[in-house]
Amino acid sequence: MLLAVVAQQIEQNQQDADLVKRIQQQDKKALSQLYDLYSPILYPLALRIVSSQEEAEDVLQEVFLQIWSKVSTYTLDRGSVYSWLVATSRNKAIGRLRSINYNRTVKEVEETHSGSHEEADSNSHPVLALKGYTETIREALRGLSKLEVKILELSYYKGYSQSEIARVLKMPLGTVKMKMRKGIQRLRQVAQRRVGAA
Amino acid sequence: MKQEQRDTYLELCIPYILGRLNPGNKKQFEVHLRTGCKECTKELAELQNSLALLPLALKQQAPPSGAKERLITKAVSGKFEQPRPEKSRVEKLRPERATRPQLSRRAPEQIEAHTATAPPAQRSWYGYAAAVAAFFIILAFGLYMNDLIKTIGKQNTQIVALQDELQRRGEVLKILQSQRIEIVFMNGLETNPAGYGKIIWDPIKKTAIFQVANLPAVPQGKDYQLWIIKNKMSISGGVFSVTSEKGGESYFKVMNLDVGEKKDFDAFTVTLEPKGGAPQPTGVMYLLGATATN
Repeated sequence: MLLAVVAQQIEQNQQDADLVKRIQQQDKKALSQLYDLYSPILYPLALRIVSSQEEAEDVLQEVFLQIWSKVSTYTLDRGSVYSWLVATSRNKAIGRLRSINYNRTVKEVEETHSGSHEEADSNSHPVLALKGYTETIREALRGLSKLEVKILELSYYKGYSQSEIARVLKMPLGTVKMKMRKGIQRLRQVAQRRVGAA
Repeated sequence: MKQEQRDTYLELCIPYILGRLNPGNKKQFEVHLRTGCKECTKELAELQNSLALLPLALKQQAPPSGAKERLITKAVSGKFEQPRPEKSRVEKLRPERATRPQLSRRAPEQIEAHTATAPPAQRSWYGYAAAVAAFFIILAFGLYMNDLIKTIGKQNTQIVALQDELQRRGEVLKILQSQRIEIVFMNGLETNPAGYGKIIWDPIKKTAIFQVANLPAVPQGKDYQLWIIKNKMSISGGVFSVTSEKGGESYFKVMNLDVGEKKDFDAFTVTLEPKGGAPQPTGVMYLLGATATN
């Protein structure tokens, strides 16, 4: 069973890498396929960060055009295409967030983040290798305290540094770092289960 | 590499992967990665894979309709701004000659805490605070300048008055330095017994100074007028006014003084006349000084 899962992930990543290679050769069908595969995950990620449909669409466009124009530095030895796409989308969205003057007070930020992740549709990911992880991630996040989730979200979706989070949440920097490490450790356990056995 | 230094680098992996290391420490950390540190490279790859799972917990949502078509049209047309190459944070950096990076000796949390960029909301507040502060500074400066201009105006008036006073005193001194001077003392009358004055003149040069003291300030629309009485004729010696400052004391140059010796005139007198003076005395007499010879 475990071997089958790992084999599926390796196969998925190989397929993704092939798509990237074809996109870099200006294959618009490949561009369309990769977009269909990951945009339902990347779009909400960008939307969550920039809070604007237009900006989120622009972020996705930039990411895929980066591959198309061969500017992308992605190669297989740098990990999965999925991780690369997520990291690039997140970084671009955070970059936009910083360039947009979001006139939001700390209070607003806290109110915004008083809730947790929206519930994702279980097992509805178009990427076969990611199926089943929605529930696992949700479980992992449920295992964290509200504060730990908030710290993780402020850092990941709002681009706050640990010291900024400490200021916003009025708590010692050491506590923020400890709680963030705990949250990431929980995610890491899930990731290790995913790739782990390899 | 010492364990302590290794721990410091490992601790920097999280802020680095989240893009929150300040430029200086980021550069140093990347130098360290180029030395081929397997531990940090592995840590970064694991962190990237772990964090990439977070968006899976978000509710899936397809981009707006037509977004894919817009992307493909843009890609095919080639009419788009070439994106800048973005290095993945787990990019395997080319190993180069190992150098000993000089990381800040501050604790890792301090290094991270000194991250240059503030969160958007906070940056915005900094902007507002700076604008408000600038406004008040400009306002305070404007008020200060206004006060300064008023003060300068007052001081200019004082300077003019002092220069005038200095000139008058200079003329008094000039007369006193004359080879020969004549003085006629003037006394207050019933209207103002405390008033007094002097006429000091140089009979040779026929110039004179008139000094008065303890005269009441002139009412509005009035002036004091000095008269030279000669052969029962009144000749105007000039109009003047005094203020309550300095006890109503002042000096004036006497006009139309063509007398030389004391015997050539009968008296000096001061009356209150309409503003600008009168051809002949009409008002109340305040001072009177007659020559001793008469």
